[in-house]
Amino acid sequence: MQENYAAIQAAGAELLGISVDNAAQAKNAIAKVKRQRGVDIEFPLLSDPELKTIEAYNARDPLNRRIARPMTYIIDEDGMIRWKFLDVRNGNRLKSDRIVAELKSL
Amino acid sequence: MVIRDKLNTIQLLLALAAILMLCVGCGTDEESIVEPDTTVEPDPTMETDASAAEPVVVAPIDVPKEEVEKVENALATVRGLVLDQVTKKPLINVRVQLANEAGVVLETLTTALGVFEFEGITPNPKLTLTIESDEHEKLELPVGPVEGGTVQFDLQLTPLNPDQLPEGDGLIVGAKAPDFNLSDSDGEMIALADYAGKQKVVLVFDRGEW
Repeated sequence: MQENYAAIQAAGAELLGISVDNAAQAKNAIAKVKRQRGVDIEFPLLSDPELKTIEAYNARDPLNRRIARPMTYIIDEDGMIRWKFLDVRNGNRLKSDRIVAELKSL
Repeated sequence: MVIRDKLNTIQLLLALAAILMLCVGCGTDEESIVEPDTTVEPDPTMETDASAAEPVVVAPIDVPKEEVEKVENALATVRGLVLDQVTKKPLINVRVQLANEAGVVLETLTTALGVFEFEGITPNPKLTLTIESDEHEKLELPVGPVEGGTVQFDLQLTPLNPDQLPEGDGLIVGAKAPDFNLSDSDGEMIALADYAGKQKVVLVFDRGEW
């Protein structure tokens, strides 16, 4: 995601990550990405340890209800969901350049 | 006895030579005129010629077959099953397109069992599958590397206006995004409302894979 953060911003959007991780765990995730990819995560990672927002977006993973299922939304300036991507469980992960393309097509 | 045996051998060789000439004659056009009368005096040389000649007749039939099989094996089949995400029933007559990078598009409709199939697909690392139904969200996904064999997809289309999707399948496109107010890793509070009227928001639910 970080690799396309600038492109996402240039396309007129802010990027926000949400997980059940608390601030300390999120910092660990940031450090891990730095170690593995040499990249600094610059977009906000929001903590939802009580899964309130995850629940509100129907993003609770049915196979592990304590975490979110990977999914991505594009929400427009009016607060409407304009695009959604569900990661499929056979390893079909969303590539962040796809988000940039979708933002440009809206 | 010895002389008759030799004569028999010579007759046999002549017969073989005659067959050889016929076959060579019918097999190719240009090289068929290979000194037709020198075979009248065949001795040890003809024997090797005759034995070496047999595969020549067989070869032109066999080699192309293998090549054709090689090409056929290299081609791929992309097939799949399309279901309604809520009812889990097969979707019939749904338009399915398979496109490559160059914009070449193949199109088909799902059968009464909700199945589609594209055969004879040339190996290609970048193919896109698009499934469209009037009553469902359009689904577009990368097929991934196709290198022969069969690639199978089990797909579920999201109905356009369901009250509630199954757990973990998110909210429908077109719905109002629920507001939130959460702290980031630096303790700063961020709300969806902060961006209202100003900016779009890309909201990513994940863990660790940023």
